[in-house]
Amino acid sequence: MPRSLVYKRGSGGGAGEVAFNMTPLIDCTFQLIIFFILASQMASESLTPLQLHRPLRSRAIRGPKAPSRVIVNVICTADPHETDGTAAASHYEIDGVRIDLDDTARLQREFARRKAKSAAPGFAVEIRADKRVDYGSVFAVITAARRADIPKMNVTALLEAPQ
Amino acid sequence: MARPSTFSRRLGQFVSIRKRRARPKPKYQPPLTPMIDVTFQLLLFFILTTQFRQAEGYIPGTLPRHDAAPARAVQRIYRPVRINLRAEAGGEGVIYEVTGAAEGRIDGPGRLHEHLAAYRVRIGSPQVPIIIAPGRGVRWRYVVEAFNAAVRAKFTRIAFAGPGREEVRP
Repeated sequence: MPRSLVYKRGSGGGAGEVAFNMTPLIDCTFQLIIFFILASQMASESLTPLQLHRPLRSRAIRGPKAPSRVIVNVICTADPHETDGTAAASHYEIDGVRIDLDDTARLQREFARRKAKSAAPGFAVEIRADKRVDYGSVFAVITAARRADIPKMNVTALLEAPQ
Repeated sequence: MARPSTFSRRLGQFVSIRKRRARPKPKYQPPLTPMIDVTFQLLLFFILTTQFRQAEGYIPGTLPRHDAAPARAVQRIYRPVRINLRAEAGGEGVIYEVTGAAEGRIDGPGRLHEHLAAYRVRIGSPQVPIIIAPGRGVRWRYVVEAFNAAVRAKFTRIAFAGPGREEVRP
Protein backbone atom coordinates (compact mmCIF):
# COMPACT_ATOMS: atom_id res chain seq x y z
CA MET A 1 0.00 0.00 0.00
CA PRO A 2 1.34 3.48 -0.74
CA ARG A 3 2.94 5.26 2.14
CA SER A 4 0.56 8.21 1.82
CA LEU A 5 -2.39 6.08 2.88
CA VAL A 6 -0.99 3.99 5.72
CA TYR A 7 1.86 4.97 7.93
CA LYS A 8 3.26 4.15 11.33
CA ARG A 9 2.81 6.70 14.02
CA GLY A 10 5.72 7.56 16.20
CA SER A 11 9.34 8.05 15.32
CA GLY A 12 11.77 5.37 14.37
CA GLY A 13 11.24 2.05 12.74
CA GLY A 14 9.96 0.22 15.80
CA ALA A 15 6.50 -1.14 16.33
CA GLY A 16 4.15 1.84 16.24
CA GLU A 17 0.46 2.53 15.88
CA VAL A 18 -0.75 2.18 12.25
CA ALA A 19 -3.10 4.94 11.09
CA PHE A 20 -4.66 6.15 7.86
CA ASN A 21 -3.49 9.41 6.40
CA MET A 22 -6.73 11.40 6.34
CA THR A 23 -5.38 14.62 4.82
CA PRO A 24 -5.86 13.78 1.10
CA LEU A 25 -9.28 12.35 1.85
CA ILE A 26 -10.39 15.55 3.58
CA ASP A 27 -8.90 17.61 0.75
CA CYS A 28 -10.88 15.68 -1.87
CA THR A 29 -14.06 15.86 0.17
CA PHE A 30 -13.81 19.63 0.50
CA GLN A 31 -13.15 19.94 -3.22
CA LEU A 32 -16.29 17.91 -3.93
CA ILE A 33 -18.38 20.02 -1.55
CA ILE A 34 -17.18 23.24 -3.16
CA PHE A 35 -17.99 21.79 -6.60
CA PHE A 36 -21.54 20.87 -5.56
CA ILE A 37 -22.13 24.24 -3.90
CA LEU A 38 -21.01 26.10 -7.02
CA ALA A 39 -22.66 23.82 -9.57
CA SER A 40 -26.04 23.40 -7.95
CA GLN A 41 -28.66 26.05 -8.44
CA MET A 42 -31.07 26.87 -5.68
CA ALA A 43 -34.57 25.65 -6.41
CA SER A 44 -36.63 28.59 -7.57
CA GLU A 45 -40.37 28.62 -7.18
CA SER A 46 -40.83 30.54 -10.41
CA LEU A 47 -38.91 27.97 -12.48
CA THR A 48 -40.97 24.81 -12.59
CA PRO A 49 -39.14 21.78 -14.02
CA LEU A 50 -40.27 21.28 -17.61
CA GLN A 51 -38.86 20.41 -21.01
CA LEU A 52 -37.56 23.50 -22.75
CA HIS A 53 -36.58 23.62 -26.39
CA ARG A 54 -33.12 24.38 -27.74
CA PRO A 55 -33.63 25.95 -31.17
CA LEU A 56 -31.10 25.61 -33.94
CA ARG A 57 -28.35 28.21 -33.32
CA SER A 58 -30.27 29.52 -30.33
CA ARG A 59 -30.38 33.29 -29.93
CA ALA A 60 -31.46 32.98 -26.29
CA ILE A 61 -29.61 35.19 -23.83
CA ARG A 62 -29.36 35.02 -20.06
CA GLY A 63 -32.23 36.78 -18.35
CA PRO A 64 -32.26 39.80 -16.08
CA LYS A 65 -33.13 39.50 -12.44
CA ALA A 66 -36.66 39.83 -11.08
CA PRO A 67 -38.82 41.91 -10.51
CA SER A 68 -38.69 43.41 -14.00
CA ARG A 69 -40.46 40.39 -15.43
CA VAL A 70 -43.14 37.85 -14.69
CA ILE A 71 -42.45 34.26 -15.65
CA VAL A 72 -45.42 32.23 -16.84
CA ASN A 73 -44.82 28.49 -16.85
CA VAL A 74 -47.02 26.53 -19.23
CA ILE A 75 -47.10 23.05 -17.74
CA CYS A 76 -48.06 19.92 -19.62
CA THR A 77 -49.61 16.70 -18.44
CA ALA A 78 -46.70 14.47 -19.48
CA ASP A 79 -43.73 13.42 -17.37
CA PRO A 80 -41.32 16.40 -17.16
CA HIS A 81 -38.34 14.07 -17.60
CA GLU A 82 -39.48 12.65 -20.94
CA THR A 83 -37.85 14.59 -23.72
CA ASP A 84 -39.99 13.78 -26.76
CA GLY A 85 -43.57 13.37 -27.79
CA THR A 86 -46.55 15.64 -27.62
CA ALA A 87 -48.74 16.45 -24.65
CA ALA A 88 -51.64 18.67 -23.74
CA ALA A 89 -51.10 21.67 -21.49
CA SER A 90 -52.53 21.18 -18.01
CA HIS A 91 -52.28 24.62 -16.37
CA TYR A 92 -50.28 27.83 -16.02
CA GLU A 93 -48.06 28.60 -13.06
CA ILE A 94 -46.77 31.97 -11.86
CA ASP A 95 -44.43 31.81 -8.83
CA GLY A 96 -45.93 28.50 -7.83
CA VAL A 97 -49.52 29.79 -8.11
CA ARG A 98 -51.63 27.54 -10.31
CA ILE A 99 -53.93 29.16 -12.88
CA ASP A 100 -56.35 27.11 -14.94
CA LEU A 101 -56.05 27.12 -18.71
CA ASP A 102 -59.47 28.67 -19.26
CA ASP A 103 -58.96 31.38 -16.61
CA THR A 104 -57.28 33.90 -18.90
CA ALA A 105 -59.01 36.78 -17.08
CA ARG A 106 -57.07 35.89 -13.93
CA LEU A 107 -53.88 35.67 -15.98
CA GLN A 108 -54.51 39.18 -17.29
CA ARG A 109 -55.28 40.50 -13.77
CA GLU A 110 -52.08 38.94 -12.47
CA PHE A 111 -50.04 40.58 -15.27
CA ALA A 112 -51.62 43.97 -14.62
CA ARG A 113 -51.06 43.70 -10.85
CA ARG A 114 -47.39 42.78 -11.22
CA LYS A 115 -46.78 45.44 -13.81
CA ALA A 116 -48.28 48.08 -11.48
CA LYS A 117 -46.17 46.78 -8.58
CA SER A 118 -42.91 46.84 -10.54
CA ALA A 119 -41.15 50.18 -10.67
CA ALA A 120 -38.70 49.02 -13.33
CA PRO A 121 -39.30 50.27 -16.87
CA GLY A 122 -39.73 47.78 -19.69
CA PHE A 123 -41.67 45.24 -17.67
CA ALA A 124 -41.71 41.93 -19.56
CA VAL A 125 -43.71 38.76 -19.55
CA GLU A 126 -41.55 35.69 -20.04
CA ILE A 127 -43.25 32.67 -21.58
CA ARG A 128 -41.63 29.53 -20.23
CA ALA A 129 -43.59 26.79 -21.95
CA ASP A 130 -42.97 23.08 -22.21
CA LYS A 131 -41.87 22.33 -25.76
CA ARG A 132 -44.47 19.58 -26.15
CA VAL A 133 -47.59 21.68 -25.52
CA ASP A 134 -49.96 22.91 -28.19
CA TYR A 135 -49.42 26.47 -29.40
CA GLY A 136 -53.04 27.40 -28.62
CA SER A 137 -52.42 27.27 -24.87
CA VAL A 138 -49.42 29.59 -25.22
CA PHE A 139 -51.23 32.05 -27.43
CA ALA A 140 -53.71 32.68 -24.58
CA VAL A 141 -50.76 34.00 -22.52
CA ILE A 142 -49.65 36.30 -25.37
CA THR A 143 -53.19 37.67 -25.70
CA ALA A 144 -53.51 38.22 -21.93
CA ALA A 145 -50.14 40.02 -21.83
CA ARG A 146 -51.15 42.26 -24.69
CA ARG A 147 -54.45 43.11 -23.00
CA ALA A 148 -52.56 43.94 -19.79
CA ASP A 149 -50.52 46.40 -21.89
CA ILE A 150 -47.18 44.73 -21.21
CA PRO A 151 -44.64 46.08 -23.71
CA LYS A 152 -42.20 43.16 -23.86
CA MET A 153 -42.61 39.46 -24.35
CA ASN A 154 -39.68 37.08 -24.01
CA VAL A 155 -39.66 33.43 -24.97
CA THR A 156 -37.63 31.08 -22.78
CA ALA A 157 -35.37 28.67 -24.63
CA LEU A 158 -32.22 26.74 -23.88
CA LEU A 159 -28.97 28.51 -24.64
CA GLU A 160 -26.77 27.52 -27.54
CA ALA A 161 -24.80 24.41 -26.57
CA PRO A 162 -21.09 25.10 -26.03
CA GLN A 163 -18.97 24.00 -29.00
CA MET B 1 28.93 21.57 39.89
CA ALA B 2 25.56 19.95 39.78
CA ARG B 3 24.06 19.49 36.37
CA PRO B 4 20.87 21.50 35.77
CA SER B 5 17.84 19.33 36.12
CA THR B 6 14.05 19.58 36.49
CA PHE B 7 11.61 17.44 38.42
CA SER B 8 9.58 15.01 36.31
CA ARG B 9 6.20 14.25 37.80
CA ARG B 10 5.72 11.24 35.54
CA LEU B 11 8.98 9.61 36.58
CA GLY B 12 8.92 10.99 40.15
CA GLN B 13 12.52 12.08 39.98
CA PHE B 14 14.80 14.80 38.71
CA VAL B 15 15.67 14.54 35.00
CA SER B 16 18.47 16.45 33.39
CA ILE B 17 17.47 19.17 30.92
CA ARG B 18 19.58 17.55 28.19
CA LYS B 19 17.64 14.28 28.52
CA ARG B 20 14.35 16.13 28.57
CA ARG B 21 15.23 18.00 25.36
CA ALA B 22 16.28 14.76 23.66
CA ARG B 23 12.92 13.17 24.40
CA PRO B 24 10.37 13.60 21.55
CA LYS B 25 7.83 16.30 22.26
CA PRO B 26 4.21 15.19 22.41
CA LYS B 27 2.22 16.12 19.27
CA TYR B 28 -1.01 18.01 19.79
CA GLN B 29 -3.75 17.69 17.15
CA PRO B 30 -7.30 19.01 17.22
CA PRO B 31 -9.96 16.27 17.06
CA LEU B 32 -10.68 15.84 13.34
CA THR B 33 -13.32 13.12 13.60
CA PRO B 34 -16.37 15.39 14.14
CA MET B 35 -15.23 17.66 11.33
CA ILE B 36 -14.88 14.73 8.93
CA ASP B 37 -18.29 13.45 10.01
CA VAL B 38 -19.96 16.78 9.28
CA THR B 39 -18.10 17.13 5.99
CA PHE B 40 -19.32 13.75 4.81
CA GLN B 41 -22.85 14.62 5.87
CA LEU B 42 -22.64 17.78 3.77
CA LEU B 43 -21.22 15.86 0.83
CA LEU B 44 -24.02 13.30 1.00
CA PHE B 45 -26.62 16.05 1.21
CA PHE B 46 -25.28 17.79 -1.90
CA ILE B 47 -24.93 14.54 -3.87
CA LEU B 48 -28.50 13.52 -3.10
CA THR B 49 -30.20 16.88 -3.56
CA THR B 50 -28.35 18.38 -6.52
CA GLN B 51 -30.29 18.52 -9.77
CA PHE B 52 -28.38 19.77 -12.77
CA ARG B 53 -30.42 22.05 -14.99
CA GLN B 54 -29.63 23.02 -18.53
CA ALA B 55 -28.69 26.65 -18.97
CA GLU B 56 -31.70 28.60 -20.14
CA GLY B 57 -32.22 32.13 -21.40
CA TYR B 58 -34.77 34.09 -23.33
CA ILE B 59 -35.28 35.30 -26.87
CA PRO B 60 -36.37 38.92 -26.53
CA GLY B 61 -39.49 40.21 -28.25
CA THR B 62 -41.99 43.03 -28.01
CA LEU B 63 -45.74 43.27 -27.80
CA PRO B 64 -47.90 45.99 -29.38
CA ARG B 65 -49.83 48.43 -27.23
CA HIS B 66 -53.35 47.17 -26.63
CA ASP B 67 -54.97 50.44 -27.71
CA ALA B 68 -52.46 51.29 -30.44
CA ALA B 69 -53.47 51.50 -34.08
CA PRO B 70 -51.57 49.28 -36.51
CA ALA B 71 -48.42 50.84 -37.90
CA ARG B 72 -49.94 51.67 -41.27
CA ALA B 73 -47.00 53.62 -42.57
CA VAL B 74 -44.66 50.67 -42.18
CA GLN B 75 -47.19 48.21 -43.63
CA ARG B 76 -47.70 50.41 -46.67
CA ILE B 77 -44.00 50.26 -47.41
CA TYR B 78 -43.28 46.64 -46.48
CA ARG B 79 -45.55 43.78 -47.30
CA PRO B 80 -45.54 41.42 -44.31
CA VAL B 81 -44.01 37.97 -44.52
CA ARG B 82 -46.25 35.29 -43.08
CA ILE B 83 -44.78 32.00 -41.86
CA ASN B 84 -47.53 29.41 -41.69
CA LEU B 85 -46.74 26.35 -39.59
CA ARG B 86 -48.64 23.21 -40.48
CA ALA B 87 -48.52 20.21 -38.15
CA GLU B 88 -47.52 16.87 -39.60
CA ALA B 89 -47.44 13.33 -38.22
CA GLY B 90 -49.77 14.11 -35.34
CA GLY B 91 -47.77 17.09 -34.15
CA GLU B 92 -44.39 15.33 -34.30
CA GLY B 93 -43.33 17.32 -37.36
CA VAL B 94 -44.04 20.62 -39.06
CA ILE B 95 -43.89 22.27 -42.47
CA TYR B 96 -43.07 25.97 -42.72
CA GLU B 97 -44.85 27.77 -45.55
CA VAL B 98 -43.67 31.30 -46.17
CA THR B 99 -46.21 33.45 -47.93
CA GLY B 100 -46.42 37.13 -48.76
CA ALA B 101 -43.32 38.90 -49.96
CA ALA B 102 -41.06 35.84 -49.83
CA GLU B 103 -42.81 32.71 -51.06
CA GLY B 104 -41.53 29.25 -50.21
CA ARG B 105 -42.22 25.90 -48.61
CA ILE B 106 -39.53 24.95 -46.15
CA ASP B 107 -38.98 21.79 -44.16
CA GLY B 108 -36.53 22.83 -41.45
CA PRO B 109 -35.50 25.75 -39.24
CA GLY B 110 -32.08 26.02 -40.90
CA ARG B 111 -33.63 26.49 -44.34
CA LEU B 112 -36.20 28.89 -42.89
CA HIS B 113 -33.43 31.07 -41.50
CA GLU B 114 -31.58 31.05 -44.84
CA HIS B 115 -34.77 32.01 -46.63
CA LEU B 116 -35.55 34.89 -44.24
CA ALA B 117 -31.96 36.12 -44.14
CA ALA B 118 -31.78 36.18 -47.94
CA TYR B 119 -35.03 38.13 -48.07
CA ARG B 120 -33.82 40.65 -45.50
CA VAL B 121 -30.64 41.23 -47.50
CA ARG B 122 -32.70 41.66 -50.67
CA ILE B 123 -35.17 44.10 -49.08
CA GLY B 124 -32.42 45.85 -47.10
CA SER B 125 -34.45 46.47 -43.94
CA PRO B 126 -35.17 44.55 -40.72
CA GLN B 127 -38.46 46.47 -40.37
CA VAL B 128 -40.45 44.04 -42.53
CA PRO B 129 -43.23 42.58 -40.34
CA ILE B 130 -42.89 38.85 -39.84
CA ILE B 131 -46.05 37.05 -38.79
CA ILE B 132 -45.63 33.58 -37.31
CA ALA B 133 -48.93 31.78 -37.83
CA PRO B 134 -49.00 28.26 -36.37
CA GLY B 135 -52.00 26.15 -37.32
CA ARG B 136 -53.93 23.84 -35.05
CA GLY B 137 -51.97 21.07 -33.39
CA VAL B 138 -48.56 22.72 -33.87
CA ARG B 139 -46.27 22.16 -30.91
CA TRP B 140 -44.59 25.04 -29.12
CA ARG B 141 -41.07 23.89 -30.02
CA TYR B 142 -41.69 24.59 -33.72
CA VAL B 143 -42.99 28.07 -32.92
CA VAL B 144 -39.81 28.72 -30.90
CA GLU B 145 -37.78 27.52 -33.92
CA ALA B 146 -39.59 29.92 -36.25
CA PHE B 147 -39.21 32.82 -33.79
CA ASN B 148 -35.50 32.05 -33.33
CA ALA B 149 -35.00 31.84 -37.12
CA ALA B 150 -36.63 35.27 -37.57
CA VAL B 151 -34.52 36.78 -34.76
CA ARG B 152 -31.40 35.20 -36.26
CA ALA B 153 -32.28 36.79 -39.59
CA LYS B 154 -32.26 40.12 -37.66
CA PHE B 155 -35.92 40.99 -38.15
CA THR B 156 -37.21 43.23 -35.38
CA ARG B 157 -40.98 43.24 -35.97
CA ILE B 158 -42.16 39.72 -35.26
CA ALA B 159 -45.81 38.99 -34.55
CA PHE B 160 -47.71 35.90 -33.52
CA ALA B 161 -51.02 34.89 -35.03
CA GLY B 162 -53.44 32.74 -33.12
CA PRO B 163 -54.27 29.19 -34.11
CA GLY B 164 -57.60 30.58 -35.39
CA ARG B 165 -57.85 33.94 -37.12
CA GLU B 166 -56.77 36.15 -34.20
CA GLU B 167 -53.46 37.95 -34.62
CA VAL B 168 -51.16 39.97 -32.40
CA ARG B 169 -49.48 42.42 -34.72
CA PRO B 170 -46.12 44.06 -34.10
